[in-house]
Amino acid sequence: MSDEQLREDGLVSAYLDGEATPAEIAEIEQDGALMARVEQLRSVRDAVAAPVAPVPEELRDRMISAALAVADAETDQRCEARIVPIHRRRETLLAVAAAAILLAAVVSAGLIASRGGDESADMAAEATAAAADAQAAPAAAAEADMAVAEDTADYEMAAEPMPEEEPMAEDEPMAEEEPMAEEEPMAEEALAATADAEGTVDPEVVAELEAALAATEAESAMEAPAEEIADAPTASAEEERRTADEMAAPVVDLGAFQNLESLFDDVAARWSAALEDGATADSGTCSATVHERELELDVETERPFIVTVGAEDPRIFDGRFARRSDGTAIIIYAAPPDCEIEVRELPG
Amino acid sequence: MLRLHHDQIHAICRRLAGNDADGQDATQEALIAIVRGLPHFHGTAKFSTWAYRVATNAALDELRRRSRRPVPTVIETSDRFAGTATADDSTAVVTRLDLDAALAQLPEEFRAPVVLRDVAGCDYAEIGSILRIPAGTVRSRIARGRARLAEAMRANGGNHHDAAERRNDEASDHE
Repeated sequence: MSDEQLREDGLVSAYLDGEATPAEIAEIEQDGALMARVEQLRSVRDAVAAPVAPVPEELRDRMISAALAVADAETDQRCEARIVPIHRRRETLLAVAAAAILLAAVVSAGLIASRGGDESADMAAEATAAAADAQAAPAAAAEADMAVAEDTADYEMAAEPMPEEEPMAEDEPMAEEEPMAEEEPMAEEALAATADAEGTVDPEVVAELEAALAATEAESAMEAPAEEIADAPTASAEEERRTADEMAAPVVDLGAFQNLESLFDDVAARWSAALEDGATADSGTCSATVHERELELDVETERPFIVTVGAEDPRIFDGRFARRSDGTAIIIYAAPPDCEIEVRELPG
Repeated sequence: MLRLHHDQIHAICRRLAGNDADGQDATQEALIAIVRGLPHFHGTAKFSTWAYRVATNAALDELRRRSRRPVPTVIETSDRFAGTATADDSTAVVTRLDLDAALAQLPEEFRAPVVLRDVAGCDYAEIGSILRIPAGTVRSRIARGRARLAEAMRANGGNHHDAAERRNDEASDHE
């Protein structure tokens, strides 16, 4: 096929498809040979465009069901990312910190008492008081660290949102929680408190403390599944907690928006700055709540998520899945509070 | 959504695949691919455009798989049909088989844009988006694809004509 033929067929094809320019249309319609070619290619086009017999409705439904079933089965096989509220993890961290420091104080007080008389008892009392002070300090420091980590989180936008916020995620046990980086400093604090009280660090005390910390961690991990059942909050308690959270959550006035999309665009734009977990964004006509969840993942944190709202006409919201500087990851998404939100893990 | 677009997706797959069985297989694969890929659909393009892209890829994958296993030739099939069908049915079947055979001879790079244009009704820009090629390339590929189809259908028509003449000759010899 010559270049000229190719050019002419291109013209004719575009003419048939309504994609020719006015100049090209004029060129074709003035040329009898080209119009003849139009008719040739029109017959080809009509043959290809002839309706394909649709598959029977029953078969169509079976095919759709099969597709959904395959996708569901694959989703089920994937390990679900555990989603837990940030504050739950923070609470656990603080509890572990408090336990460790109290333990250190008791041990050091006991040692001092066993080595001295009344004077030693006074020293022990002082050590206990100092340890109590120390308990508050690292806890506050830990919380501050977490806040800084959140504020400075490296929000690598990578996600899409998804299905349904699973209330069960709120009740998830912390069994799989990895030892926090903050725990080592806490042990050091406890050791330091002992050293301050005595002037030196007794190796036995160090061994006892290390054993006690290890036992605490192990116990925490072992008991977690039981806690899941025993500590599962009642619906009303959970509701109360949520109400309290909502009341405490800041409301960010985002101004007037024509629709949810524009609202969410703005929410997304402010995610890394103004909005915190639980913050409510209110435009007057639309509102949204920002949810921050920590994902305990043993997978790549770049995995996308998607949030859809509504079954009839699902809307996909622009969620954000971000890696934090401390190695954990969070998902942040915004959605109207009266909508059912579902969060699902996507294929890796 | 799947129900809404099913017929169009099936039509694309059927035309790309060349026969009913492979068309249905390709459609099934396309539906699965769409469900799997839905989370990656950002809503920046029309759903139909995105779904057609997924369907086209699924159908072409099916074609590649098919190319690795033997299939009966089109001419054998049409001869078998010709003995039992009415004249009108036979003409329709032969026409369809001509088209399927002609499409089968068309390289993928031409077949996909032609099918997306003529079956799915996509414009050149959409086809370019689906196949990730420039609109100018879409235009030339459709033109070349149609030209080749015209030639192939003419050739296949000649083959059918020859086959019909052979049958007539055999019938005369019998008498």
